[in-house]
Amino acid sequence: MKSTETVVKVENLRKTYNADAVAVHAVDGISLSIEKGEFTAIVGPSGCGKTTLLNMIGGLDRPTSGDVYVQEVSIGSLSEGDLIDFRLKHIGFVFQAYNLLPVLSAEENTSFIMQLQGKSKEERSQRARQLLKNVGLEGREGDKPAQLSGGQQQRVAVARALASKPNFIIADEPTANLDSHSTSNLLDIMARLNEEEQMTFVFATHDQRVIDKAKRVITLEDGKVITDEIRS
Amino acid sequence: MKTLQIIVTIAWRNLWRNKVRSGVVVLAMTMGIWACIFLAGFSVGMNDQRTDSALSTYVGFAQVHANGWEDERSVELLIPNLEEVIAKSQEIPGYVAHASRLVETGMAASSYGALGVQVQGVDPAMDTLVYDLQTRLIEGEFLPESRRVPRAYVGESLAEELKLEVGSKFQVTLQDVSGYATQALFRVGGIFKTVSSQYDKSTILIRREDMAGLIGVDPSAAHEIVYKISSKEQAIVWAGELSSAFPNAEVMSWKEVSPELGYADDMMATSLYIFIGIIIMAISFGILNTMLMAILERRRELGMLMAVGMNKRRTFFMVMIETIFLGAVGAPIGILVGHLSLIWSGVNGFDLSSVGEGLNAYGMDAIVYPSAVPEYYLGIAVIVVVMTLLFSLYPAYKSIRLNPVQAIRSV
Ligand SMILES: Nc1ncnc2c1ncn2[C@@H]1O[C@H](COP(=O)(O)OP(=O)(O)OP(=O)(O)O)[C@@H](O)[C@H]1O
Ligand SMILES: [Mg+2]
Repeated sequence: MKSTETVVKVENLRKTYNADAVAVHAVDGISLSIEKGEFTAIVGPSGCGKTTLLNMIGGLDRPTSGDVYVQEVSIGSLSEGDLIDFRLKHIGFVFQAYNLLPVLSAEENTSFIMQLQGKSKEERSQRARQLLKNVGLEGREGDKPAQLSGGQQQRVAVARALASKPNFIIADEPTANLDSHSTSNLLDIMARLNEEEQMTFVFATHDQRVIDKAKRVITLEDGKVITDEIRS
Repeated sequence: MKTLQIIVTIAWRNLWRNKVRSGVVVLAMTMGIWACIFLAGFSVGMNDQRTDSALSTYVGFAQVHANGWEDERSVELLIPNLEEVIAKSQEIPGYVAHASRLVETGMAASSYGALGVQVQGVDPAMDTLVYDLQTRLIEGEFLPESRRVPRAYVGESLAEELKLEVGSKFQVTLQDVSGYATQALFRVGGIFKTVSSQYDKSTILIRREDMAGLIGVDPSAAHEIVYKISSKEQAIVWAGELSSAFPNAEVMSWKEVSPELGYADDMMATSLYIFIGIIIMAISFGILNTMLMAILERRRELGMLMAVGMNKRRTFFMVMIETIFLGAVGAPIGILVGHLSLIWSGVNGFDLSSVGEGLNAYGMDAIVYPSAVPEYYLGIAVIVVVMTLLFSLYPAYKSIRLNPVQAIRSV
């Protein structure tokens, strides 16, 4: 048995929306933990609560009850301002779209997050260039998002997510807007980062190609975990 | 603050994302400021002209009288130690020229009527160094040498009222130093017209020796010394210094002789600033609207920024800076264009002669030469920055009120 390090622990998490007086249990009592180096896909039918769960894990949304622990820190105990700083330091994000600032180049989009962290100029530009190289965008550092394809933009988003040296990266439907070539390219890059740097990824996805690559697949239905399968 | 630079960079580039929309706002600010500056330059130019012509026809930069003159203005109040006062006054920095005069209120009468007038006894050679009344001549000559019937220099309105022409005779009645009424006949030597019809209706100039003989004083005596000083500001300093040297003389700068000239300056500045404030506020509403639209369009992006760790203080600041840029970019252009247009029109002048008759009554010329008003530029810049800063608060507040989860979900 290999030694593990828990990066996220979720305890009895619930999120209830009171839409039109009918309570919707978007997440209905989920407990799980995610270990360092996992490549996890959260799957399930539309509306089963994937995004809601991921947002709470990422500290974007507050649970109705239960708590999320990242590095032993209870996210529920953080003030809103502290939570933003916490996300900046510990969590990487890749969204389905609108990941990048259109007015910044690929390199600026990547180094921007390090600038928020107060990193030095040399460190920023060196790391941003290295990360863009790692995602196969060498030579495109100066391009604006509008000059890049959807797949290339998502790769910049991955570089940006890595730039802050997070504990883990959450990605909500990162391939939903991509063609199959760009999808497999992006997946290869993320799988390689997972292998080589032990970066932890948690996806919410419908995409079978993502599910095929995942080392762990958690299936939700009506806000509950139905199956939790670890593949070897 | 290492993050300041990137936030300012983003704000600046965001500003130009919608070039037409931002351009329209910048243009509005440019034109608004141009209008404000032109109005300021026009008003200041008009006011300066009014002051300058008052100074060069009947106020001077400073005046000296015997003590008590301000209250009594009586004929026996001659300036004591005249030579000494003049000698001292020439030593004080700013002195350019002086003219000694005799002054008394009397009566001018022709067969068509009689009017109260101020009679001024002047040395033509000296007086023209301080006043420019000789340049206001419209007919005849400026105080020619005495003949059998002495000559007078008469305002146009007065001449019209008494139906006088060059060469006509009329009678002047004054009081001599012993208190007796004294009369003499004068012939109109020249007719003048200044910018003040009030002055033209009530003023007669005669030669000083003629007046001295009429009222029975020594020809070298004077009721009044008028001065030309290097500048309006220096005149105030100069008068203060002379006054402390001669406590028993009344020394007054132009501002004390004609306080209304100074008030006009202050009142004009106040009303100009109110006007400028209103114009810039109106433009700021356009800025507010533009920024609210921009934030609505970019809410997903703003949500993303907050999600990945941009805190509220920085987000607030970013939107604020963009708003201030939007307001401030047009300001230097507007100031420059305003300045250039003032210089151009200051050379060419603005002919207001269609309303010129009305202006004369207020002591103004019909052609206005606007003057550049650098003293207003900083004030305008400050108003722009303060106003846009104020108007930036609401969009910035709106942006930090965005909920990142909802903003991102609204794909
Ligand atoms: N802000 C909200 N207000 C009310 N109900 C909400 C809100 N957000 C989500 N829900 C509801 O919560 C449930 C779970 O939504 P969620 O977005 O997590 O599903 P999902 O698994 O991500 O679906 P998809 O695969 O379509 O992205 C849904 O029934 C949804 O309608
Ligand atoms: Mg979803």
